[in-house]
Amino acid sequence: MNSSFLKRRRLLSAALVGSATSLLPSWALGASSKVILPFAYGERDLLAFPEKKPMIVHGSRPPQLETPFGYFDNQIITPNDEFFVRYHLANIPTSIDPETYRLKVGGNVTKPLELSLHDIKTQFTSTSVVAVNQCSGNSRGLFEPRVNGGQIANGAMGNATWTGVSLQDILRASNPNLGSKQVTFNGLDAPVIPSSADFIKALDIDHAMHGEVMIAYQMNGVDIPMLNGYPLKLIVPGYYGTYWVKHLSQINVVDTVFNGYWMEHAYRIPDNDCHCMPPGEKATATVPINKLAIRSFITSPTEGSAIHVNEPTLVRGIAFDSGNGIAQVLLSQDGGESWIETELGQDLGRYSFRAWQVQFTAQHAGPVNLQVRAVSRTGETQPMLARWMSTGYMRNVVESIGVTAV
Amino acid sequence: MNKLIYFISLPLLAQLASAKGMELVEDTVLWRSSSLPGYSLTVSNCSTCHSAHYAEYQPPNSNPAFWKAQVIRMKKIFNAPIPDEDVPAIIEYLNQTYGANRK
Repeated sequence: MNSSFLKRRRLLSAALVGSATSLLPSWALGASSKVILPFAYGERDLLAFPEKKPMIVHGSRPPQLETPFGYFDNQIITPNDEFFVRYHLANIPTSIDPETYRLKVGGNVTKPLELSLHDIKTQFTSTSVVAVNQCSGNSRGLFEPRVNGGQIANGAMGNATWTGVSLQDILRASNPNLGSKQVTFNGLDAPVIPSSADFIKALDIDHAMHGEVMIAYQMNGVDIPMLNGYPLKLIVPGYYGTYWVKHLSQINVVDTVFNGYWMEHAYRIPDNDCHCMPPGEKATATVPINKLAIRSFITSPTEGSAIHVNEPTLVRGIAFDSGNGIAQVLLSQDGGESWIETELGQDLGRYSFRAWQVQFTAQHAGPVNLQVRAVSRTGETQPMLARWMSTGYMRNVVESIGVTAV
Repeated sequence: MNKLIYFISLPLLAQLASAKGMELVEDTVLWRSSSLPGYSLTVSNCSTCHSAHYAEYQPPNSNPAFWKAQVIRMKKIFNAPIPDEDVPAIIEYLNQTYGANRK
C-alpha cells in the first residue's frame, strides 16, 4: 500500500464516532481530479472532505474548500455537501458531543448563561432565514494586479436556510449591562499554538440586538456539517462570512471596542466610499469589513460554450446583495451599451440568492460577451470596472462570460 | 441479567452514537523540496500549524517583502517559535521557491 493511497484513504474516511455509520458517499471513492482556476497558478485538487462532495481544495490543514462554480447552476439553495469551508486555525474540533456541548454567554451581563443545545432548542423561539454566506475574499484570485491571500475563484459563497434562535433573545436572557459596546463570538476552532491570536469576531451591540443575527443549529433542515460549524453557527445576514463563527461556544458582552487581531488588524477594508484604493496602494484608514457588496453571476451557459445563432438560448444565474433585495438583473451583449431586463425567480427573502433568467438570441455568428449586472431595491449596482484593495476583499465587478454563436 | 445489560448499555450507546466526529485530513500539498537551507527549517517550523497550500498558491507577483511579512506575522501574531536566526533562510526559501520563482 503506497503512502498516497493511505493519504487518500485517510482523507476520505469519516465516520460517526461510536457507530459504524459512514459519512462517506459512494462516489467519494473515485480518483482525485484537478481543476484549473482562471488565473496564474490556478491548478487545484478536487477532493471530497468529510460530509462534502468533491470541492476545490485551497487548504487541507486547516480545511479551505471552494464550491466548484458549476454547482451553482439551477439551484438557489446550496446543499450542505456543496457549501464552501473556510477555517483560519488548524486546531479544529474532530468530535463534538451534543449532550455535553455548552454555549456560554458572559462578560458585561447581569446573568451569565451556560446553555445546552437542548436549552437553546426548547427555551427560545425557533426562527429561520434564507441567507447568503460569502467569504470576504471570495474571487480574490481574480484581482488585477494580483493580491496575496487565499487565491480563490468565485465559489466561496453559498445560500442556505438557517434555523435556530435569535441572538437578541439569548442576549436578553443574559441581560447586558448599560453601556455595553460590542459582543464577541468565539468557537471551538482554536490555534495550534495556544498563545496565538484565537479567531474571535465582534459585532456592535446594536447589531447583535437587532433581531436578525441568529444562532443556527440547522442548515437546510438538518444538523450543520462539522466543517461548517456543527452544532451552532452564528448567522449574520447580509454580512461577510468572517462574522459567521463556527462551533459557537462563547459569547461575551464587552464595554469597549474589541481589539482582537481578527477585528483590529485582519478583515479590514479601506475607509472610503468605494472601499477601494488605486492598484498597488495600501489603505491607511480602514474599518472592519461589514456588509456584502451586490453581485450577480451567469451560471449557464458557461465560459467558452457554443450557443445557436438566431435561436433563443436560456441565460440564467443568481444575484444577491446585503439585504435591500434584488430589484433588477440586467444582461448586456455590447459591453454595457445596452441592457435587457431578465425575469427574476422566486423570492426566498431579501438575504437569499435570487435566481434570474432570460431568453437571449444571438443575431450574428461569432463571439459574444455576455455581462450581468444586478440592481438592488435601493439602487446599489455593480461597477463595470473592478475596484481594487490590497487585501482582496469585496470583489463585485460586473461579471462577463464569453460564448460563441454558431 | 439481560435486563441489567439493557439498562446499562442503552444510554451508553445513545451517548456514543450521538457524538459527531470526523478525521482530520493529512496535508495534500507538501513543501516543495529544495537544496536551500530554508527548506528543512520551513518544514520543521511552518508545518506545525498549517499545510503548504497557502505558499504554493500565492500569485507570481509575490515579492520578498510579502514573504518576510508573513514569517514575521507568524512569529508575532501567532507566536510561532521560529528562532530569529532562522528567519532569513526561511524567507529566502519561500521567495526562491514560490511566487515569481515557482517552477
